[in-house]
Amino acid sequence: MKKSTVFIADDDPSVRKGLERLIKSAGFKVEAFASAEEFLKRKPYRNPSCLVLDVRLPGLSGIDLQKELAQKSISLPIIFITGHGNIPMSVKAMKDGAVDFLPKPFDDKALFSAINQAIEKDRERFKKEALKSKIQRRVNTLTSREYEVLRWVITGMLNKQIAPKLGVTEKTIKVHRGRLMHKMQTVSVADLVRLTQKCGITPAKK
Amino acid sequence: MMPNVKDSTNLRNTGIKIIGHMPWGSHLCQFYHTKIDLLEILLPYFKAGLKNNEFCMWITSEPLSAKEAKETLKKEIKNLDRLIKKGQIEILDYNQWYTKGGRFDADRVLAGWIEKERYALRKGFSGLRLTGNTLWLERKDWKNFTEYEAKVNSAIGRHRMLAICTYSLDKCGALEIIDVIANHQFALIKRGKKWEVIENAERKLKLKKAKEHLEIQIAKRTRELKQVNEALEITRDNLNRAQVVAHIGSWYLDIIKNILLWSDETYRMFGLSIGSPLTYEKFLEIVHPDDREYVDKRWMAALNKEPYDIEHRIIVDGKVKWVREKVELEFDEEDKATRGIGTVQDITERKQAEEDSRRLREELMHVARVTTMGELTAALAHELNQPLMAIMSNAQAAHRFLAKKNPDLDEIGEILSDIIKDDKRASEVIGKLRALLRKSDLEFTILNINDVIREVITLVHSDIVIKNISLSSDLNDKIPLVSGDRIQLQQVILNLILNSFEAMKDVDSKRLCMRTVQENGKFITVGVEDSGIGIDEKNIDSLFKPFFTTKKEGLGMGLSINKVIIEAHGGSLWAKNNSDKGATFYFTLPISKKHSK
Repeated sequence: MKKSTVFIADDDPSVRKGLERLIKSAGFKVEAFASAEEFLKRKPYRNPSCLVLDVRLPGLSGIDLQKELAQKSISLPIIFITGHGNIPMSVKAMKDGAVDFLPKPFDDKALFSAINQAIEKDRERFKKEALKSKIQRRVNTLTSREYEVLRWVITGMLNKQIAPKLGVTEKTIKVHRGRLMHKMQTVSVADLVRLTQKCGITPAKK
Repeated sequence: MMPNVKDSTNLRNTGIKIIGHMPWGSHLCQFYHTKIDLLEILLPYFKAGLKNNEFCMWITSEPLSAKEAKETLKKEIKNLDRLIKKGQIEILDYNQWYTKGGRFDADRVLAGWIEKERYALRKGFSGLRLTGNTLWLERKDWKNFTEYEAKVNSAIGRHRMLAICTYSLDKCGALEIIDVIANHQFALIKRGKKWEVIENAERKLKLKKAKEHLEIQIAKRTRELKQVNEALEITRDNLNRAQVVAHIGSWYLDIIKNILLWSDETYRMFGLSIGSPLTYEKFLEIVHPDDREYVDKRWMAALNKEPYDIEHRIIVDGKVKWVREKVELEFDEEDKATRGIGTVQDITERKQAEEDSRRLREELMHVARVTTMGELTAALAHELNQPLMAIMSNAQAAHRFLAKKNPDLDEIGEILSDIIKDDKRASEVIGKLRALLRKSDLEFTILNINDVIREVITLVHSDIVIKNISLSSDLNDKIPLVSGDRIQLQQVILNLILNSFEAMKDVDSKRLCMRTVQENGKFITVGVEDSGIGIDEKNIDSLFKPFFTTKKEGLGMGLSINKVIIEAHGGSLWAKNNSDKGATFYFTLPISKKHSK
């Protein structure tokens, strides 16, 4: 498994350096940025990671960055840190999906508990993403007719019920079903329904 | 010489039993047969006159000569000679008076009586008592004399004279008797052995008319009085209504007669039923207990000619009302108050409005203060927290590195120098704060800390009243002067007092005590002692650290700023829980060297 990376965005060089040292000491990969803009220039990371983000940054603030990432559908877990936290701001940040909100100065326990939680969350996300693409790859091997039959099969209808819908014989449906079950690497309709749900395939309309 | 009190009365004792007392201006006649008859009336008549300080004139005629009259009277009045000498009595024969100069002249005789009356009054007598016998009258003079008597009768009423004219029945016919009776108010006649009084019919009629006239006058006056009373009633009613509308009551006090009257509105204002009995004590009972001493003091001062225009609270039906009272007192020559008129105005609404605007102003001030402080704190907090954060992460990183098997000592050395760097940076921030506070124009003057405390108490006085805090001060009169910035010290004291209010917010018995003590030759100590919830022992050390607070809205800067200010003055600030309840904050200030004893 690749090393998890912790991104840091804080404009204060001392804080940046101190946090970088501390997080590295726990075995994480660290990349530190002095501003939100600098962070946005970096390519999206392909492994579980999180962002330790100062609320007050010159130019684009931490909160602005959180919005920007959400708009780009980059679901990177964020841990906010602040030198002058106020409650309304932290509530807003948490509602918008931040993992934690840490007022400076905080100790390593609080920080690592937040980082671990964030990384775990991201790892889960990656797992889901990986599974989804695996299923998607199988779906991609289906012919358009097989895909069509699949959408009817997952409604729970029997072959003889599906046949009139597609204007073919019950036997033809039976053949398509056999092939698509094989391509989707599944043996039961229940399992097929589960897989299709994960990659967003909707049942046909009766 | 003033006539004595008895003589100054209009009513004279005639000395004649059946007549008794008669007013000055009475004109009587006596009909007699014998000398004895004459003396029976005239002797007691003159005896009473002489006794009552009247000038007496006795004009005699047959059958009683002046000489005989004098001798007879002397038997009754032992010191008659002395009285004659003194000029209180003259006894003359008719020819020395009525017919002096040979014939009777009515005008001369009348003028003579008036002259004698003047003489009597000039000499200090009460008036003139006289008698004249008419036996000398010739029939030719009768008409003339009758006219004279009529003149006397009509004029005598205006004079301090009492006259008895004596007529011999032997010389008077029926017509004469009618004339005589007509010209006198009363007539004395002896029937058998008893004297009787006959009242003049005309006089009776006159009296009746006078009585009727009087009755008409009285009726008229009664009607007028009734109208005046009605007008007065309307005025009073209007006054009462005006008082209700204006929320002004009035009262009247007569100190000499001990009368205290309140208007209806005053009764209403004080919540008493209209007309119920009043005393000063009863009034004081209604005054708010905290204001009683003040009101009493001011009233006593008013009695010593100090102006009385005060505002105080009263409690009516359990509710607090504010009233303004004014009084105008009148004083006698000895500067003693005799009576006064006062007004009472209900100013509760005005006070409420004042209170509301004060509260609003205070809230605005508070918001402004918090905002400024908030900005300062936010900036400061950020500045301080950055280096603290860096120190924290570096130290914890170092800790982790050291826990490894082969710690990179170079790395750790680098970390340590970063920590030192950030520590310096943090100190600089704190130094900046101190400098900021010092730089805010600390103006040192020589001052008496008691004055500064009193100034602050004035600022929070209304809070103390509203929050129902009992304030006591134990300020040492001989406290040495200190050198300090008045405004900054006021701020410290104000902050400590406001903190004490906060600490006493939820306790029942709210007591605040301000103390000043001379600690030694070098320092004075100020104590702010409250009966609040006290300080949690675990917080007592962190109390003065920046950003420490137990208040929900607190910023935690007050006490740390106080500490900086007091330390800038060369003193120190600390706190202690009291043995019973609450806490005391103390600060010391060095005694000004120039002014220490």
